[in-house]
Amino acid sequence: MKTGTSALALATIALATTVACSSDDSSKKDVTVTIVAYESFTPPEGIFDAFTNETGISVRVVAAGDAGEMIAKATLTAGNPEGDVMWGVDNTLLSRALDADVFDPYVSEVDGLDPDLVATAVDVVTPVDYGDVCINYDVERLEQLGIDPPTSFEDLTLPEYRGLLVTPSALTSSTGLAFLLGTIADDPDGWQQTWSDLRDNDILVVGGWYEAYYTEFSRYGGDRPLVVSYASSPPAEILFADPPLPDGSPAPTAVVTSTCFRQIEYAGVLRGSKHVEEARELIDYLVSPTFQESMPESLFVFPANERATLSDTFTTYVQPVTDPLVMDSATIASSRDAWLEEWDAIVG
Amino acid sequence: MPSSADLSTAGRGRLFAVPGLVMVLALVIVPVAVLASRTFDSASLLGVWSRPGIVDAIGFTVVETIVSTLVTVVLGLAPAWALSHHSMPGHRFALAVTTVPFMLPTVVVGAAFLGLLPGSVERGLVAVVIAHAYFNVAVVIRTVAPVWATIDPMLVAAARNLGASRSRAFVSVTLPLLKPALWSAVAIVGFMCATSYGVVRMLGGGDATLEVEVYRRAILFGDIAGASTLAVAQLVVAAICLFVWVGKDRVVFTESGHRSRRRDHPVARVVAVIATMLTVAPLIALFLSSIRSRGHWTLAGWRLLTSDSDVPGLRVDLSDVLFRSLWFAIIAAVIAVPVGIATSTFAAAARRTFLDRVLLLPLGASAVAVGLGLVITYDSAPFDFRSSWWLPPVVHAVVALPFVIRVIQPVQSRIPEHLRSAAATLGASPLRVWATVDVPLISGAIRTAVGLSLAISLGEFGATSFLTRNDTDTLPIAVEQLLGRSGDLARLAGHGVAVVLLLATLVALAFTTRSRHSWSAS
Repeated sequence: MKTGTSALALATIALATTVACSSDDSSKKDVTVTIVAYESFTPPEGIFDAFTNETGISVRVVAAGDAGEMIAKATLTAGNPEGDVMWGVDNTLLSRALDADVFDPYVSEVDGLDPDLVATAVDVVTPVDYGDVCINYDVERLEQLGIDPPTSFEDLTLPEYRGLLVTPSALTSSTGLAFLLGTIADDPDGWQQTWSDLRDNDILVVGGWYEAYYTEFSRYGGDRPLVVSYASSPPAEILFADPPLPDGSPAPTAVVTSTCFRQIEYAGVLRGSKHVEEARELIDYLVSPTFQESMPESLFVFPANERATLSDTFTTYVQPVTDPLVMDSATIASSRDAWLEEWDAIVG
Repeated sequence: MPSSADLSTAGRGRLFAVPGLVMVLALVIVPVAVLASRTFDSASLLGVWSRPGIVDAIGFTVVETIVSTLVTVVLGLAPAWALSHHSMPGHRFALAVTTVPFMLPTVVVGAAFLGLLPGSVERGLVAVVIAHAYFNVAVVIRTVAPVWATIDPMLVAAARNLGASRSRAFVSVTLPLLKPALWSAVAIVGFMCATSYGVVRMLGGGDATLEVEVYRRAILFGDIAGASTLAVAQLVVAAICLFVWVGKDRVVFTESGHRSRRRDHPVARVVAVIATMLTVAPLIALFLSSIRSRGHWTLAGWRLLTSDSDVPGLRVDLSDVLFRSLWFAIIAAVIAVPVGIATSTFAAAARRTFLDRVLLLPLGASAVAVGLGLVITYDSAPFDFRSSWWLPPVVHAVVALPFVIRVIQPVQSRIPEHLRSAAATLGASPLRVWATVDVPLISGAIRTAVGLSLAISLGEFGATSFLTRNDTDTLPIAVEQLLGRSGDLARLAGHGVAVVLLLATLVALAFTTRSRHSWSAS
């Protein structure tokens, strides 16, 4: 089999005119460190130049799929990784990476890291950002309907909110899963009742976030004024509005802050990396204020470093989530499958 | 008794079969097997079947596949008839347009399609079947129409003269002659529906196919052992189906003289127009969603895509992505078409359809398992191809291969052997015979094959979305990225890239599809 494979490889190489060759030079001035990331990791262009100038280490970003797909691949390639640093494993997935021994121990000690975000009893990853999954609502549509925005999960089970909410499925969407975890964190013993009430109240469950937001949400032509999305969606609705909104006009959508479930993303050095020292330096740079300050506008998440200053455009429009629902990754790991099966039985 | 000349042709042909087989083995079967063996544990081998949802998924997959395939084939007969009996202005356009949905990633067209479904159609079996019919009707048109066009109208006329009704003539004359093409269509459509992921995830409501279950187990539950058990089972069932089909789907041998004259037929025209309009409606809806926002016409999305202005968070370099996609598509075609020709040469010489069936297997494999399998199969030097830039286009080529073969093989198998013998008798070497006899006769089919494999590569969003890329976004991936963000501009630009993908596909198909040579040529 291997010979067949190599024949194919040779044929393909012969066909190709240019084949990228990686340099094996291990002198520090000529090292390239590779970040493995999910597909939507889009830092500003040139953001790594400062790091390269200072350390001589070049940075390459390789990406594919969403965070779940990235972790599935990382667990399969543990010890023989596709790069040196992984960006973006979150608290709903971290335990899978830990179980598979994906990381090499290192936690950055950069000044200003929010201690609340550091994973407890874990010495292999450093928090890099956080964001929240929350119920968003269409301000104008709720006004037209003469309904006040809900303020809690329980509100959503009331008759006046019947048929108003759409969510991506927890079985096919990480956003949907985060929302489910939020309801569990909110009421660990009664969440099943909440969900059967939600089902009786005609909640719509769709495949992914795109269908929920862009086809069923009333702001985009659907008939559901409540949708499970992100705390960063309302600022994006203002910044990306077309036609642009007049200055000072209120946000067209808003967030029910009591329903927000916190997703914390981490970065770590991949076990098996040939450039562990350089990879650690890069982790330090990823949580330095220079890099962290670029994140709200390019990734729509909040920096994990409290010393990073947020730009006006972002802080003006974002609703602060002061008391988010949280759940540590060990709890998620031990119960996720059982919860999903229970949830499927209630909603499916 | 085969003559010795025939045997030597078959012997030589065996060599031609090697590249295609190697590709399918190396890029589909071995990766799935490696994934399964690497993650094997006996507990999940049996345990996974008792997981909630699995039995339902198997049931739904079977029901959905049978119903979708039947509906698609039956619905496809009308446009197949119209396009085979009729050369009207815009024939080529109609053929290209009805093929486009099959080529595009379902997420893109699926959303537009969803918007056009009447509100009364609930998510579930009905919506899934309608969508499958929409996406796959091209397979029926492209497979059946060319064969239909070669049926001698005198046969039907004779039956009618002998007193058969229209329907009787259809059932007892036309249908038997169409049978091989119909089986071929059933095989492809069946595979596409059985392994459907995007459509079922979007429209299935709570229902899932086995393919969706593989994704859930591997990605959401992190149970890769369970997922690969399911994926192997799916591949085995696909292989069994292929063996059952081998006997049924014979290459059609029609003497080339029997091509029917294309008469203008008003009903055919109406059918073709309706089919085209039904296909086009979601595509127009897609275009509109790139230029319309909140009741206003706007070019903001297109400006974002075509100017250098860098909106934070919506960075996309359209020309860069477009050229990379085209480059990948060209590589895929450069691999798939010669391999397809070689395979067809073998199959034509050996008069065998077995190989052709084996090369259909990639369509029955789980994209998730193939994607993960590729990552762990080619992971150590000197075979560490994981982030090689050329891996995605090579995988595209495997996906395109069965379609390329379907286009070329029927034409090649119909080249009368005496033409080759005559050339050989006059002293031409085998290569010369091939170049002067075969190539000119299959050139139209080659052109079609190039178009199809370009289009398939442009839109591929299955296994390759798992391959880690070094700054190598393709059009479907750019669409996915933009449509993963909130806000009008993200939505406009995302749909804009989808329109670019649509147009690129349409151009690839229209410029390479001659009205007479289609999927399998006439």
